[in-house]
Amino acid sequence: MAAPPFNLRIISPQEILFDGQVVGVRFPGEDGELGVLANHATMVALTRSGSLRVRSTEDDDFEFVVHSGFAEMRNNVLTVLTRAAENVESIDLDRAQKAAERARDRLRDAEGSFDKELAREALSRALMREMLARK
Amino acid sequence: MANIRDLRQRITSVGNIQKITRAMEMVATTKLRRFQEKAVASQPYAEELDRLVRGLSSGVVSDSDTKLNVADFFQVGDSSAPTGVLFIGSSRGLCGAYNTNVQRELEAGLETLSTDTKLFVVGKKAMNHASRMEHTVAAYFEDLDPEKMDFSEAVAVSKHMVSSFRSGDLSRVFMCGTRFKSMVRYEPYFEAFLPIEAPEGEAAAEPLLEPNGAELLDRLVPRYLETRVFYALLEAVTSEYASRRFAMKNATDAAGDMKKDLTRSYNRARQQKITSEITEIVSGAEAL
Repeated sequence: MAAPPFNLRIISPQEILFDGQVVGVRFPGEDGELGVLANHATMVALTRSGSLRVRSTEDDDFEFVVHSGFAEMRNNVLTVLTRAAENVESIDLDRAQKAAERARDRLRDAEGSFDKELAREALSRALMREMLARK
Repeated sequence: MANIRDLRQRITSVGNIQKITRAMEMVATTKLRRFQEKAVASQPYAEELDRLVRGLSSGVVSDSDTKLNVADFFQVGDSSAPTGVLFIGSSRGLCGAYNTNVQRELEAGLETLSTDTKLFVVGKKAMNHASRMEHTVAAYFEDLDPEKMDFSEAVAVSKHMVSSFRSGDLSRVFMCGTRFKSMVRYEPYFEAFLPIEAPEGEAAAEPLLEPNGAELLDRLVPRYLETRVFYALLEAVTSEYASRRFAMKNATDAAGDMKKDLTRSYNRARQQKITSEITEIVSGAEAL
């Protein structure tokens, strides 16, 4: 018997990346991976950088990179709010490497006016992209 | 009788101005469309975060014994401390009454406050106004270009205000900018930014919180404020272009009317000249 579907939405400040019916989602929670199926209890969770895996209603899997953010399950709608996300297949490895390099430079540059915290976040995002794209 | 050569020159120069304003109108229209798309695309994120913060804060904040790092985000600071206002204007001119409208809203908003104010300014035109009106400017984000729509720039602005608020330098923070409603409607606003107003009453069905409410809010609240700044900047730019498009359209239309009037005077002057020349020739021939 096919698992019942529910709605998944992945939203970043720039766009809605995904909005559709799925049967299962696994995503990186703050204290470890969390899995969500249809009719999950109402929940709000922190997410960290990592891969969000989706089982679609057609029974194939796909994967997104998500970064720190929030996930909310309510009335059979899972809403993932994240600073940035992309489909793993569309990751531009070149760009990710350059972003990582830039972030490292900014961290090294002790006198620079760059916000270290922002640079660290950017670095972890870039590294995660690289890692998942290589897989 | 107006000089024919003068009239011809004026027709040409009005025509040239019309070409320029029409080009600017078209540029503003395309940019407006682009920013409008972005504003529409980022709206769901802002809305969802807003809902999440409201939903969580009503449950957690009323719990006074929880050791909440972000508790002070929900309380008015030292009431003798000045009030901060984020004042968002444009960096470029030729956008109609856009800046004047925000300025008026700012003045009206400031009058309702009883404390001193410190301004956080975005946009060159806003800065000009702030220094003319002798407001205290706490920060002027000179390099911030809202057109780039870089989220981290919004983060920097938000952090600056939040740290002043949390250290007790500011009792409250307001935002003054322009809200984009449609291509022809954009309204200035003056509204509270900090403290966050937690909704009254009990939270509906208590959700599972992972890892826990305090940690969630710790992360959620700063991100929520950053997003509000980001969205405010985005709306401001969109409104600016809507306003500029409108102003340039009016200018183009006005130039068209002016050209029509001038052409009419020109033709009348030309005909008068011909008539008088004919009269001269005829009277000259009769004299012979």
